[in-house]
Amino acid sequence: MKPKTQEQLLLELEDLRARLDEAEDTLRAIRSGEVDALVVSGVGGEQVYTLKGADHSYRVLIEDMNEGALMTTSDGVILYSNRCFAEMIKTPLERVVGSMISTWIVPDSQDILQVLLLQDDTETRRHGQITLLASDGALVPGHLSTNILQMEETRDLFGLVVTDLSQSQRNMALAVSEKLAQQSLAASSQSRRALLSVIEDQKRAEDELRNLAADLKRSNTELEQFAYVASHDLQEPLRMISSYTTLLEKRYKDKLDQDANDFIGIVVDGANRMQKMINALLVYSRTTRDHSPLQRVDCNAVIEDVKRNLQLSIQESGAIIQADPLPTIVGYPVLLLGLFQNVMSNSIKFQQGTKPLVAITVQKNNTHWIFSVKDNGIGIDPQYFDTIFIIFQRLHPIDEFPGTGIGLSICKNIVERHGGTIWVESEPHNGTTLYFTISSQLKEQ
Amino acid sequence: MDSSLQVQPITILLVEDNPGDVRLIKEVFKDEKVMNTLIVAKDGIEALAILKDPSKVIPDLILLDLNLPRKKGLVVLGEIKNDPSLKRIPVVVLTTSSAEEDILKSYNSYASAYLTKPVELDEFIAVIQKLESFWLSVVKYPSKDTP
Repeated sequence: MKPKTQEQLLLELEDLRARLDEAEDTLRAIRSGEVDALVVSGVGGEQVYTLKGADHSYRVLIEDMNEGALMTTSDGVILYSNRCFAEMIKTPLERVVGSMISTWIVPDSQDILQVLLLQDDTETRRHGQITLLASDGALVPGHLSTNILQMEETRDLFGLVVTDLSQSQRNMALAVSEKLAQQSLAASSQSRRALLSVIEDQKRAEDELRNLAADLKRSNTELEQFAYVASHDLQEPLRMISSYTTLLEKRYKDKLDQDANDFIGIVVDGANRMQKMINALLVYSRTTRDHSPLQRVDCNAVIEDVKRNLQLSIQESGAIIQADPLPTIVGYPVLLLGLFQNVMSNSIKFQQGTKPLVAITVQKNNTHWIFSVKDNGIGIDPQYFDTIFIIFQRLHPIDEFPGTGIGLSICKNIVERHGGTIWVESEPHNGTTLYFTISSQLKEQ
Repeated sequence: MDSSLQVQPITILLVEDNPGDVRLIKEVFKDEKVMNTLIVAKDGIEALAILKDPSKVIPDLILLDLNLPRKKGLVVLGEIKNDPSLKRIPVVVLTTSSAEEDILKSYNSYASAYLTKPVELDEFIAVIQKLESFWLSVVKYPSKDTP
């Protein structure tokens, strides 16, 4: 997996947190009856989950029936009320929702209410006679039936049906309508439960993503530390091999035959190569460890610096370097210098006796600068277009083209730290054009 | 070194845990005919014990490795530079690490110089030669008799 910067991880985490808050708000809103629908981002885009779709018919039934229908918490907080109940107690609906059911019941009936709202698994349906207290002080005799609606959340909800007994003609229909109403409430609770499980799934997925992000960050840090420590600790024994072999050669050259001297040469050469690789690994790990601030960088000045650093090989090869006027971009100055220097030194190095021509151009799209570095060198077989960006992968024998084979993997690392990509276009013996992009959205720090 | 120009041999304390490195420095000193007294401490604690032992000669120069067991080189450096009787002794850090932070921390702790040990013997010899010509021949030390 591509290493992510701490900034990227923090942004992702922030995004996740916001989405979680949103989901929790929605959950709260659904519980309190404020909203009827939930929009969930899914693989196939956004999906709308709606209560209406699921229980529209039940709702109409409950809204229009002549019984009071309520949904309360076990504490007695009214989460939902139909219009009929609000009318019974002569109170606007918006003041009913959120109030305590006990507010609307006379003191003498409170004990009965307590019993009816008991959380008891053995008996989910109960009913009793109570007297309602309307907001104008009027007393309304009523029949209250309660039903525990099993919810998987932290607490149970109760479905309540209140029948106005002052309308005695309704007594006959009581049993039938009560049953119907309870069924409706149960069905509605079921669709709410489905919604809750959707939200929970999303929450779980977000938790997982958050854990993954933390894991990734940890393993990136460990990898950097590993490369750094390994590079240092590996140098010690290497120095011993190299130094003592050379000492052996110095002291005993006259006493040894040609073979022995050859072998010593091979050991020293191997140790020196290994040391260069360790140093390259150090540079590689530094490109991920470098936490210097993002700054404005004039790419023309970078090219001039590179030319100065590569002065010797430019002179020796007679290389000609042409660069378009380049922009000032925001990036990590040291890393950008390393990037251009690696790419340009490859263009100068991978030649077959021809005078190197290196042309640097730039274009811009909405999001990125697109740089290209074109040369007239030996080219690359398309089958190796990916391999060349892997650490220590070499395409040529070391005596043909020296080097550790880490340069382009360092470049890839640097480009990715600048929110870009790197790729190559080439054919054997026909030059190579290396492209890389740098995000134009980076901000100075 | 031309013996007619022979300066007073100085005493060097080498703080180095790797026997290979100790031997290598000794061998190079021998090849380069560097005349001095070399005391070796295998780690930071031993180094400080030697420095604080009144029966031992106080060295003129300390060569300090950073990656030491028990007490790290930078801690040893800090303790030397905080000790009024030792702080005048030049400490040359001689280490494998070329990490910026190690270099910076060493100078911030008043190291006199920071040298990395090259892998190639010839380069290592060159470093020892320069070390020798500067710290052992050029630099003037306080007289042993002055308190």
